[in-house]
Amino acid sequence: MFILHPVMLVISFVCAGVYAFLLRGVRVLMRGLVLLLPMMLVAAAMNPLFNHRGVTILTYLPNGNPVTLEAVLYGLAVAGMLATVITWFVAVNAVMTADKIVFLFGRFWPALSLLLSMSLRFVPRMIRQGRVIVVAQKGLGRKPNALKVISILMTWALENSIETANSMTARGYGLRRRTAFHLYKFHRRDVFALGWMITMALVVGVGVALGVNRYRFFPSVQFHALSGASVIVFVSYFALGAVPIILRAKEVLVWKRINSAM
Amino acid sequence: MKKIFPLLVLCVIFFASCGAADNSDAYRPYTVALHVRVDMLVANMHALDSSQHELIPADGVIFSGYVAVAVGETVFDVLQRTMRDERIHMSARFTPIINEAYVEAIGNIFAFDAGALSGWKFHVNGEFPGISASSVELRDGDVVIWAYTLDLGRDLGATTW
Repeated sequence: MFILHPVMLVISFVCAGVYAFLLRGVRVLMRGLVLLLPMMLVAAAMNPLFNHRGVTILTYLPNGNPVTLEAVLYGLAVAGMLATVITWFVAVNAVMTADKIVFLFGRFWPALSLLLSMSLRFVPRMIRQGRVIVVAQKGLGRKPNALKVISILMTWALENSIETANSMTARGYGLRRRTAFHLYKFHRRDVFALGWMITMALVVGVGVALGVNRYRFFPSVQFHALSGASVIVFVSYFALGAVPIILRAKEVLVWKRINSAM
Repeated sequence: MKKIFPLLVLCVIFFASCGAADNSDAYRPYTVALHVRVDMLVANMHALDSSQHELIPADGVIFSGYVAVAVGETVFDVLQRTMRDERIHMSARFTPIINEAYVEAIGNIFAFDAGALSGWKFHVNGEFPGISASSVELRDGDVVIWAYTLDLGRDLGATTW
Protein backbone atom coordinates (compact mmCIF):
# COMPACT_ATOMS: atom_id res chain seq x y z
CA MET A 1 0.00 0.00 0.00
CA PHE A 2 2.86 2.39 0.75
CA ILE A 3 5.23 0.95 -1.82
CA LEU A 4 5.59 3.17 -4.87
CA HIS A 5 6.75 0.42 -7.18
CA PRO A 6 4.39 0.68 -10.19
CA VAL A 7 3.82 -3.07 -10.51
CA MET A 8 2.99 -3.38 -6.81
CA LEU A 9 0.77 -0.31 -6.99
CA VAL A 10 -1.19 -1.87 -9.84
CA ILE A 11 -1.49 -5.18 -7.97
CA SER A 12 -2.69 -3.45 -4.83
CA PHE A 13 -5.07 -1.17 -6.69
CA VAL A 14 -6.64 -4.02 -8.65
CA CYS A 15 -7.13 -6.07 -5.47
CA ALA A 16 -8.63 -3.11 -3.62
CA GLY A 17 -10.86 -2.21 -6.57
CA VAL A 18 -12.20 -5.74 -7.05
CA TYR A 19 -12.83 -6.16 -3.32
CA ALA A 20 -14.56 -2.79 -2.99
CA PHE A 21 -16.67 -3.68 -6.03
CA LEU A 22 -17.67 -7.04 -4.50
CA LEU A 23 -18.62 -5.32 -1.24
CA ARG A 24 -20.24 -2.11 -2.33
CA GLY A 25 -21.26 -2.62 -5.93
CA VAL A 26 -20.34 -0.77 -9.05
CA ARG A 27 -22.24 2.42 -8.23
CA VAL A 28 -20.40 3.24 -5.01
CA LEU A 29 -17.13 2.43 -6.73
CA MET A 30 -17.87 4.74 -9.66
CA ARG A 31 -18.94 7.54 -7.35
CA GLY A 32 -15.70 7.11 -5.46
CA LEU A 33 -13.70 7.18 -8.68
CA VAL A 34 -15.37 10.40 -9.84
CA LEU A 35 -14.25 11.99 -6.57
CA LEU A 36 -10.87 10.33 -6.78
CA LEU A 37 -9.91 11.28 -10.32
CA PRO A 38 -9.62 15.08 -9.83
CA MET A 39 -7.76 14.46 -6.59
CA MET A 40 -5.29 12.20 -8.40
CA LEU A 41 -4.87 14.76 -11.17
CA VAL A 42 -4.14 17.51 -8.66
CA ALA A 43 -1.65 15.32 -6.79
CA ALA A 44 0.09 14.36 -10.02
CA ALA A 45 0.16 17.94 -11.32
CA MET A 46 1.28 19.55 -8.06
CA ASN A 47 4.42 17.50 -7.62
CA PRO A 48 6.40 18.72 -10.64
CA LEU A 49 5.52 22.31 -9.72
CA PHE A 50 7.32 22.07 -6.39
CA ASN A 51 9.67 19.17 -6.83
CA HIS A 52 12.51 19.97 -9.21
CA ARG A 53 14.59 16.86 -8.79
CA GLY A 54 15.33 14.71 -11.80
CA VAL A 55 17.78 14.64 -14.67
CA THR A 56 15.28 14.73 -17.57
CA ILE A 57 14.23 18.34 -17.97
CA LEU A 58 10.96 18.61 -19.88
CA THR A 59 10.39 22.34 -19.74
CA TYR A 60 10.82 25.33 -17.46
CA LEU A 61 8.40 27.06 -15.12
CA PRO A 62 7.99 30.84 -15.49
CA ASN A 63 10.25 31.32 -12.45
CA GLY A 64 13.07 29.44 -14.16
CA ASN A 65 12.86 26.16 -12.29
CA PRO A 66 12.78 22.97 -14.33
CA VAL A 67 9.84 20.60 -14.74
CA THR A 68 11.37 17.14 -14.78
CA LEU A 69 10.06 13.85 -16.10
CA GLU A 70 11.05 12.15 -12.85
CA ALA A 71 8.94 14.53 -10.79
CA VAL A 72 5.95 13.92 -13.08
CA LEU A 73 6.32 10.15 -12.78
CA TYR A 74 6.72 10.41 -9.02
CA GLY A 75 3.57 12.53 -8.85
CA LEU A 76 1.69 9.89 -10.84
CA ALA A 77 2.95 7.14 -8.53
CA VAL A 78 1.86 9.10 -5.46
CA ALA A 79 -1.54 9.71 -7.07
CA GLY A 80 -1.83 5.98 -7.67
CA MET A 81 -0.94 5.27 -4.07
CA LEU A 82 -3.54 7.77 -2.91
CA ALA A 83 -6.20 6.08 -5.03
CA THR A 84 -5.18 2.66 -3.74
CA VAL A 85 -5.31 3.68 -0.10
CA ILE A 86 -8.72 5.30 -0.51
CA THR A 87 -10.09 2.28 -2.36
CA TRP A 88 -8.87 -0.01 0.41
CA PHE A 89 -10.58 2.19 2.96
CA VAL A 90 -13.85 2.03 1.02
CA ALA A 91 -13.65 -1.71 1.63
CA VAL A 92 -12.54 -1.30 5.27
CA ASN A 93 -15.52 0.93 5.99
CA ALA A 94 -17.85 -1.75 4.70
CA VAL A 95 -16.20 -4.59 6.59
CA MET A 96 -15.17 -3.06 9.91
CA THR A 97 -18.45 -2.57 11.72
CA ALA A 98 -18.57 -0.96 15.15
CA ASP A 99 -18.92 -4.25 17.00
CA LYS A 100 -15.76 -5.59 15.36
CA ILE A 101 -13.78 -2.51 16.36
CA VAL A 102 -15.03 -2.72 19.93
CA PHE A 103 -14.19 -6.42 19.99
CA LEU A 104 -10.68 -5.83 18.68
CA PHE A 105 -9.64 -2.89 20.82
CA GLY A 106 -12.11 -3.06 23.71
CA ARG A 107 -9.87 -5.18 25.90
CA PHE A 108 -6.72 -3.15 26.12
CA TRP A 109 -7.91 0.31 25.16
CA PRO A 110 -11.65 0.77 25.76
CA ALA A 111 -11.58 4.53 25.17
CA LEU A 112 -9.96 4.16 21.74
CA SER A 113 -12.39 1.54 20.51
CA LEU A 114 -15.30 3.62 21.66
CA LEU A 115 -13.89 6.73 20.03
CA LEU A 116 -13.19 4.90 16.78
CA SER A 117 -16.56 3.22 16.54
CA MET A 118 -18.39 6.44 17.37
CA SER A 119 -16.41 8.78 15.14
CA LEU A 120 -16.46 6.42 12.16
CA ARG A 121 -20.22 6.27 12.50
CA PHE A 122 -20.58 10.02 12.84
CA VAL A 123 -20.35 11.22 9.24
CA PRO A 124 -22.70 8.70 7.61
CA ARG A 125 -25.14 9.25 10.45
CA MET A 126 -25.14 13.02 9.93
CA ILE A 127 -25.70 12.56 6.21
CA ARG A 128 -28.60 10.20 6.84
CA GLN A 129 -30.20 12.58 9.34
CA GLY A 130 -29.68 15.44 6.87
CA ARG A 131 -31.74 13.53 4.31
CA VAL A 132 -34.43 12.85 6.92
CA ILE A 133 -34.60 16.57 7.70
CA VAL A 134 -34.89 17.49 4.02
CA VAL A 135 -37.74 15.01 3.55
CA ALA A 136 -39.48 16.25 6.68
CA GLN A 137 -39.18 19.88 5.60
CA LYS A 138 -40.58 19.04 2.18
CA GLY A 139 -43.41 17.14 3.86
CA LEU A 140 -44.24 20.29 5.80
CA GLY A 141 -44.51 22.13 2.52
CA ARG A 142 -41.33 24.14 3.03
CA LYS A 143 -38.45 24.59 0.70
CA PRO A 144 -35.40 23.36 2.62
CA ASN A 145 -32.28 25.42 1.99
CA ALA A 146 -28.83 24.20 2.96
CA LEU A 147 -28.28 26.68 5.76
CA LYS A 148 -31.55 25.82 7.42
CA VAL A 149 -30.94 22.09 7.13
CA ILE A 150 -27.49 22.46 8.67
CA SER A 151 -28.89 24.57 11.47
CA ILE A 152 -31.50 21.92 12.27
CA LEU A 153 -28.86 19.23 11.94
CA MET A 154 -26.56 20.98 14.42
CA THR A 155 -29.34 21.36 16.95
CA TRP A 156 -30.20 17.72 16.54
CA ALA A 157 -26.55 16.68 16.89
CA LEU A 158 -26.07 18.69 20.10
CA GLU A 159 -29.21 17.35 21.67
CA ASN A 160 -28.35 13.88 20.51
CA SER A 161 -24.88 14.00 22.00
CA ILE A 162 -26.31 14.78 25.45
CA GLU A 163 -28.77 11.93 25.13
CA THR A 164 -26.06 9.59 23.96
CA ALA A 165 -23.82 10.56 26.85
CA ASN A 166 -26.58 9.99 29.39
CA SER A 167 -27.58 6.73 27.84
CA MET A 168 -24.02 5.45 27.74
CA THR A 169 -23.37 6.37 31.36
CA ALA A 170 -26.49 4.47 32.28
CA ARG A 171 -25.24 1.41 30.41
CA GLY A 172 -21.87 1.44 32.10
CA TYR A 173 -19.62 2.52 29.27
CA GLY A 174 -16.15 3.49 30.29
CA LEU A 175 -16.07 1.05 33.19
CA ARG A 176 -13.07 -1.19 33.22
CA ARG A 177 -14.63 -4.60 33.35
CA ARG A 178 -17.56 -4.03 31.03
CA THR A 179 -17.93 -6.87 28.55
CA ALA A 180 -19.42 -6.89 25.06
CA PHE A 181 -21.28 -9.68 23.35
CA HIS A 182 -19.52 -11.26 20.45
CA LEU A 183 -19.53 -14.51 18.52
CA TYR A 184 -15.97 -14.54 17.28
CA LYS A 185 -14.02 -17.70 17.83
CA PHE A 186 -10.64 -18.60 16.50
CA HIS A 187 -11.26 -21.62 14.28
CA ARG A 188 -8.84 -23.71 12.29
CA ARG A 189 -9.68 -21.84 9.11
CA ASP A 190 -8.74 -18.62 10.89
CA VAL A 191 -5.40 -20.13 11.81
CA PHE A 192 -4.92 -21.04 8.16
CA ALA A 193 -5.92 -17.58 6.88
CA LEU A 194 -3.76 -15.79 9.44
CA GLY A 195 -0.81 -18.07 8.69
CA TRP A 196 -1.25 -17.47 4.98
CA MET A 197 -1.35 -13.70 5.39
CA ILE A 198 1.62 -13.58 7.75
CA THR A 199 3.67 -15.79 5.42
CA MET A 200 2.89 -13.67 2.37
CA ALA A 201 3.52 -10.44 4.26
CA LEU A 202 6.84 -11.85 5.46
CA VAL A 203 7.88 -12.83 1.94
CA VAL A 204 7.01 -9.35 0.69
CA GLY A 205 8.69 -7.69 3.67
CA VAL A 206 11.89 -9.71 3.32
CA GLY A 207 11.92 -9.14 -0.45
CA VAL A 208 11.52 -5.41 -0.04
CA ALA A 209 14.15 -5.32 2.71
CA LEU A 210 16.60 -7.23 0.52
CA GLY A 211 15.81 -4.88 -2.35
CA VAL A 212 14.88 -7.48 -4.95
CA ASN A 213 12.51 -4.93 -6.48
CA ARG A 214 14.35 -1.77 -5.61
CA TYR A 215 13.11 1.33 -7.32
CA ARG A 216 14.09 4.94 -7.30
CA PHE A 217 12.66 8.01 -8.94
CA PHE A 218 15.45 10.52 -8.29
CA PRO A 219 17.76 11.64 -9.73
CA SER A 220 16.90 9.25 -12.58
CA VAL A 221 14.18 6.60 -12.67
CA GLN A 222 15.59 3.14 -12.15
CA PHE A 223 13.97 -0.18 -11.39
CA HIS A 224 15.69 -3.34 -10.40
CA ALA A 225 15.67 -5.81 -13.27
CA LEU A 226 12.96 -8.47 -13.16
CA SER A 227 14.35 -11.60 -11.53
CA GLY A 228 12.98 -14.80 -10.06
CA ALA A 229 13.04 -13.26 -6.58
CA SER A 230 11.17 -10.14 -7.66
CA VAL A 231 8.49 -12.24 -9.39
CA ILE A 232 8.08 -14.21 -6.15
CA VAL A 233 7.59 -10.92 -4.28
CA PHE A 234 5.00 -9.73 -6.81
CA VAL A 235 3.13 -13.05 -6.65
CA SER A 236 3.12 -13.05 -2.85
CA TYR A 237 1.96 -9.44 -2.83
CA PHE A 238 -0.93 -10.47 -5.04
CA ALA A 239 -1.59 -13.53 -2.86
CA LEU A 240 -1.81 -11.19 0.13
CA GLY A 241 -4.05 -8.64 -1.57
CA ALA A 242 -6.34 -11.32 -3.03
CA VAL A 243 -7.15 -12.91 0.38
CA PRO A 244 -10.22 -10.73 1.07
CA ILE A 245 -11.42 -11.23 -2.51
CA ILE A 246 -11.17 -15.01 -2.28
CA LEU A 247 -12.92 -15.07 1.10
CA ARG A 248 -15.68 -12.82 -0.16
CA ALA A 249 -16.14 -14.76 -3.40
CA LYS A 250 -16.34 -18.01 -1.45
CA GLU A 251 -18.98 -16.55 0.85
CA VAL A 252 -21.06 -15.33 -2.06
CA LEU A 253 -20.84 -18.71 -3.80
CA VAL A 254 -21.79 -20.62 -0.65
CA TRP A 255 -24.69 -18.26 -0.05
CA LYS A 256 -25.95 -18.72 -3.61
CA ARG A 257 -25.68 -22.51 -3.38
CA ILE A 258 -27.61 -22.64 -0.12
CA ASN A 259 -30.24 -20.33 -1.52
CA SER A 260 -30.68 -22.35 -4.70
CA ALA A 261 -30.82 -25.59 -2.72
CA MET A 262 -33.79 -24.33 -0.69
CA MET B 1 -15.64 14.07 -17.02
CA LYS B 2 -17.09 17.42 -18.06
CA LYS B 3 -15.65 19.12 -15.01
CA ILE B 4 -12.18 17.73 -15.58
CA PHE B 5 -11.86 18.90 -19.16
CA PRO B 6 -11.31 22.65 -18.50
CA LEU B 7 -8.76 21.69 -15.85
CA LEU B 8 -6.87 19.63 -18.41
CA VAL B 9 -6.95 22.47 -20.92
CA LEU B 10 -5.62 24.85 -18.28
CA CYS B 11 -2.81 22.45 -17.43
CA VAL B 12 -1.85 22.14 -21.10
CA ILE B 13 -1.84 25.90 -21.59
CA PHE B 14 0.15 26.39 -18.41
CA PHE B 15 2.85 23.90 -19.34
CA ALA B 16 2.98 25.11 -22.93
CA SER B 17 3.59 28.66 -21.74
CA CYS B 18 6.40 27.48 -19.50
CA GLY B 19 8.56 26.62 -22.47
CA ALA B 20 8.60 30.14 -23.84
CA ALA B 21 11.90 31.65 -22.76
CA ASP B 22 13.08 35.15 -23.45
CA ASN B 23 15.87 34.68 -25.95
CA SER B 24 16.35 38.37 -26.51
CA ASP B 25 19.83 39.17 -27.78
CA ALA B 26 20.61 41.61 -25.02
CA TYR B 27 23.79 43.66 -25.30
CA ARG B 28 26.32 41.89 -23.12
CA PRO B 29 29.55 43.84 -22.96
CA TYR B 30 31.13 42.09 -19.96
CA THR B 31 32.87 38.74 -19.90
CA VAL B 32 32.87 36.79 -16.69
CA ALA B 33 34.47 33.47 -15.82
CA LEU B 34 31.96 31.07 -14.31
CA HIS B 35 32.86 27.81 -12.60
CA VAL B 36 30.54 25.32 -10.94
CA ARG B 37 32.44 22.78 -8.89
CA VAL B 38 31.80 19.88 -6.53
CA ASP B 39 35.35 19.16 -5.31
CA MET B 40 34.18 18.67 -1.74
CA LEU B 41 31.85 15.91 -2.90
CA VAL B 42 34.51 14.22 -5.03
CA ALA B 43 36.62 14.02 -1.87
CA ASN B 44 33.66 12.90 0.29
CA MET B 45 31.49 10.72 -1.92
CA HIS B 46 30.27 8.74 1.10
CA ALA B 47 28.38 11.83 2.29
CA LEU B 48 26.00 11.42 -0.65
CA ASP B 49 23.34 8.80 -1.20
CA SER B 50 24.61 6.13 -3.59
CA SER B 51 21.88 7.02 -6.10
CA GLN B 52 23.55 10.39 -6.60
CA HIS B 53 27.07 9.16 -7.22
CA GLU B 54 26.45 9.11 -10.98
CA LEU B 55 25.87 12.88 -10.85
CA ILE B 56 29.37 13.69 -9.64
CA PRO B 57 31.97 14.21 -12.37
CA ALA B 58 35.35 12.72 -11.52
CA ASP B 59 37.18 16.03 -11.92
CA GLY B 60 34.56 17.88 -9.87
CA VAL B 61 33.73 20.32 -12.67
CA ILE B 62 30.05 20.68 -13.55
CA PHE B 63 30.60 23.77 -15.65
CA SER B 64 33.58 25.91 -16.51
CA GLY B 65 33.73 28.67 -19.06
CA TYR B 66 33.44 32.33 -20.00
CA VAL B 67 30.03 33.97 -20.11
CA ALA B 68 28.90 37.22 -21.72
CA VAL B 69 27.13 39.36 -19.14
CA ALA B 70 24.88 42.39 -19.54
CA VAL B 71 25.32 45.49 -17.41
CA GLY B 72 23.48 45.09 -14.13
CA GLU B 73 23.14 41.32 -14.30
CA THR B 74 23.57 39.57 -10.98
CA VAL B 75 25.46 36.42 -10.08
CA PHE B 76 22.14 34.62 -9.87
CA ASP B 77 20.91 35.83 -13.29
CA VAL B 78 24.10 34.68 -14.95
CA LEU B 79 24.06 31.28 -13.26
CA GLN B 80 20.44 30.65 -14.14
CA ARG B 81 20.83 31.74 -17.76
CA THR B 82 24.03 29.78 -18.29
CA MET B 83 22.73 26.58 -16.70
CA ARG B 84 19.66 26.76 -18.89
CA ASP B 85 21.68 27.37 -22.03
CA GLU B 86 24.01 24.52 -21.15
CA ARG B 87 21.08 22.20 -20.33
CA ILE B 88 22.37 21.69 -16.80
CA HIS B 89 19.76 21.14 -14.12
CA MET B 90 19.32 23.97 -11.63
CA SER B 91 16.65 24.85 -9.11
CA ALA B 92 16.18 27.92 -6.94
CA ARG B 93 13.78 29.25 -4.31
CA PHE B 94 12.64 32.85 -4.33
CA THR B 95 11.67 35.25 -1.61
CA PRO B 96 10.30 38.13 -3.68
CA ILE B 97 9.72 40.56 -0.81
CA ILE B 98 13.45 40.86 -0.12
CA ASN B 99 14.37 40.04 -3.75
CA GLU B 100 16.35 37.04 -2.66
CA ALA B 101 17.07 33.91 -4.63
CA TYR B 102 18.43 30.81 -2.96
CA VAL B 103 20.12 28.30 -5.20
CA GLU B 104 19.02 24.97 -3.82
CA ALA B 105 20.37 22.74 -6.55
CA ILE B 106 22.75 22.59 -9.49
CA GLY B 107 23.13 19.39 -11.49
CA ASN B 108 20.56 17.63 -9.31
CA ILE B 109 22.73 17.98 -6.23
CA PHE B 110 20.52 19.70 -3.70
CA ALA B 111 21.31 21.58 -0.54
CA PHE B 112 21.32 19.22 2.46
CA ASP B 113 21.90 16.19 0.24
CA ALA B 114 25.28 15.68 1.89
CA GLY B 115 24.46 16.54 5.48
CA ALA B 116 22.79 19.33 7.43
CA LEU B 117 25.52 21.89 6.66
CA SER B 118 25.77 21.20 2.94
CA GLY B 119 24.67 23.44 0.10
CA TRP B 120 25.77 25.74 -2.71
CA LYS B 121 27.93 28.79 -2.02
CA PHE B 122 29.51 31.26 -4.40
CA HIS B 123 32.42 33.61 -4.30
CA VAL B 124 33.38 36.42 -6.63
CA ASN B 125 37.10 37.03 -7.17
CA GLY B 126 37.81 34.87 -4.11
CA GLU B 127 35.53 36.79 -1.77
CA PHE B 128 32.36 35.50 -0.19
CA PRO B 129 29.95 38.46 -0.32
CA GLY B 130 27.71 37.11 2.45
CA ILE B 131 24.55 38.25 0.66
CA SER B 132 22.23 36.64 -1.82
CA ALA B 133 23.49 35.98 -5.34
CA SER B 134 20.56 38.00 -6.67
CA SER B 135 21.99 41.10 -4.95
CA VAL B 136 25.53 40.90 -6.33
CA GLU B 137 26.03 42.64 -9.68
CA LEU B 138 28.87 41.53 -11.89
CA ARG B 139 31.55 43.57 -13.62
CA ASP B 140 33.87 42.81 -16.47
CA GLY B 141 36.53 40.24 -15.69
CA ASP B 142 34.96 38.90 -12.52
CA VAL B 143 35.59 35.28 -11.61
CA VAL B 144 32.51 33.59 -10.14
CA ILE B 145 32.86 30.21 -8.53
CA TRP B 146 29.88 28.22 -7.32
CA ALA B 147 31.01 25.40 -5.06
CA TYR B 148 29.23 22.77 -3.05
CA THR B 149 30.12 22.92 0.62
CA LEU B 150 29.72 20.23 3.25
CA ASP B 151 30.36 22.59 6.18
CA LEU B 152 28.55 25.92 5.70
CA GLY B 153 31.40 27.16 3.51
CA ARG B 154 34.20 26.68 6.04
CA ASP B 155 35.69 23.88 3.91
CA LEU B 156 35.80 26.35 1.01
CA GLY B 157 37.65 28.92 3.06
CA ALA B 158 34.71 31.18 3.79
CA THR B 159 34.72 33.22 6.96
CA THR B 160 31.40 34.96 6.39
CA TRP B 161 28.07 33.47 5.48
